[in-house]
Amino acid sequence: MKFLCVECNEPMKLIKKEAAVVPSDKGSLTVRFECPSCLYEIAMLTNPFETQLVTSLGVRIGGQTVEGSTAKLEDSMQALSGTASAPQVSVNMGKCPFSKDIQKMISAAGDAAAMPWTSQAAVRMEKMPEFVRPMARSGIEKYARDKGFSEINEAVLDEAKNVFGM
Amino acid sequence: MKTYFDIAGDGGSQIVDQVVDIQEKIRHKLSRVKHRLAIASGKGGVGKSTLAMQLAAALRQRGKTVTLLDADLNGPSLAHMAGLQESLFIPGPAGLHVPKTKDGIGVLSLGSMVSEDQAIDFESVAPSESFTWRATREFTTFRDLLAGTDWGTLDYLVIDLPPGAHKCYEFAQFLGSETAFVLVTLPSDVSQGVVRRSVSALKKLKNPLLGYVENMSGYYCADCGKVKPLFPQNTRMNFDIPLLASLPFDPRLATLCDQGQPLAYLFDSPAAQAIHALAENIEKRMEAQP
Repeated sequence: MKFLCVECNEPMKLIKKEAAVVPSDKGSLTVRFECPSCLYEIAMLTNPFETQLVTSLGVRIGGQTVEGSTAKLEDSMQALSGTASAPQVSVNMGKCPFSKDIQKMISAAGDAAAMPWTSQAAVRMEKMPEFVRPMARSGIEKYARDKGFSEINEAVLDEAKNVFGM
Repeated sequence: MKTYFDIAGDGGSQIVDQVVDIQEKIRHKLSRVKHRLAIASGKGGVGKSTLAMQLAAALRQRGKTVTLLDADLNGPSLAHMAGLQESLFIPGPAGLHVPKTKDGIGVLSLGSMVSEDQAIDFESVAPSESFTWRATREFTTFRDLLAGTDWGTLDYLVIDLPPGAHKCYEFAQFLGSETAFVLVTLPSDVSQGVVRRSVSALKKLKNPLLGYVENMSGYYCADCGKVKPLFPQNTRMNFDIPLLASLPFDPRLATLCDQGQPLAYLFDSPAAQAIHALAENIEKRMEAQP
């Protein structure tokens, strides 16, 4: 879908502002565009079905997923310098088809305080399919805690890989 | 006034570019996989997953590097059959590491992630309408799995498809013409009828259709050492594709599958011998592909 400013005969662009894409808790989505010539702004408002269509395709509107979960991860990755907190992967993210089940399992396993991840380990996590990250994070942190590690680094990941026969 | 096709891009999100990027990422991730082989049927309950597991084990015994991909996101069973239900998904430098059996067969199945007492629910922001989007969500999930996994260097990626004649066609399109297909049927008229539809659907595409396997073609009696009929002696339908193997049912198979062990390691059984012959047959046909 594209938007045209009829007055200027120019395609409208997604605005370069923080609130360019705003999801609502009722399943709607607000996406703001402006004409690069006259700066006239419009907002595209989707109904839940239209939002779901975008979500189902697994693509990003304006560089973020509808739920903004990937953007959160990207923000956290940018903030990483040496050591960072655990990747901020929301288990409620829309790309995860099993999020409810995973949330239950993580809760059942007693999700203790998140462990710190080194930037290198966090980068590895980002390369995994998005929908498996919450479960992977929970399992790896449990493994690390049981082994007495204080942070997740690449050595911990490699050790876990060998332990689980990969 | 400008029309849709006069305007480059989509205003900022570059949706088409994102889809193309993911497709390119998948191509790159699978670039060191020599052969892609889908095990399909159209009919459910014919033993696709069991055959995929056994075939992978037989190929492995023939010295091939093999990974199994469980494409049945709603009813994943390969993790159980491979004894990898308790496996951990771990990120490596190039994506998700594929868990392996003790025999070195890679098995990627969501059964390693979601326990069997959990129903798989594809969430939807459109209330009570998850069914509307489910197929799209399934393929998006499958696509993310392909793009985010480190498949490494493989001789064979064996893909176990979910049931449904339409799934054969959809997955064939999705996986592209580099993926060859083997269909599985039971000797029953009902099963053969459904598989015929799958053959007909796949013939519309360019994917190599290697042939079909008649599973449970008889029952192996350990007492008398003979294979006896399991189904009424129906006429074998003409699928117009090669019959690759007829596999007798062996009761030991069920036990071994529950224990996460392949029957292919039991060389003395007729079923295991048939599986090894099938692996050899498939290997020859795959090598002969242009």
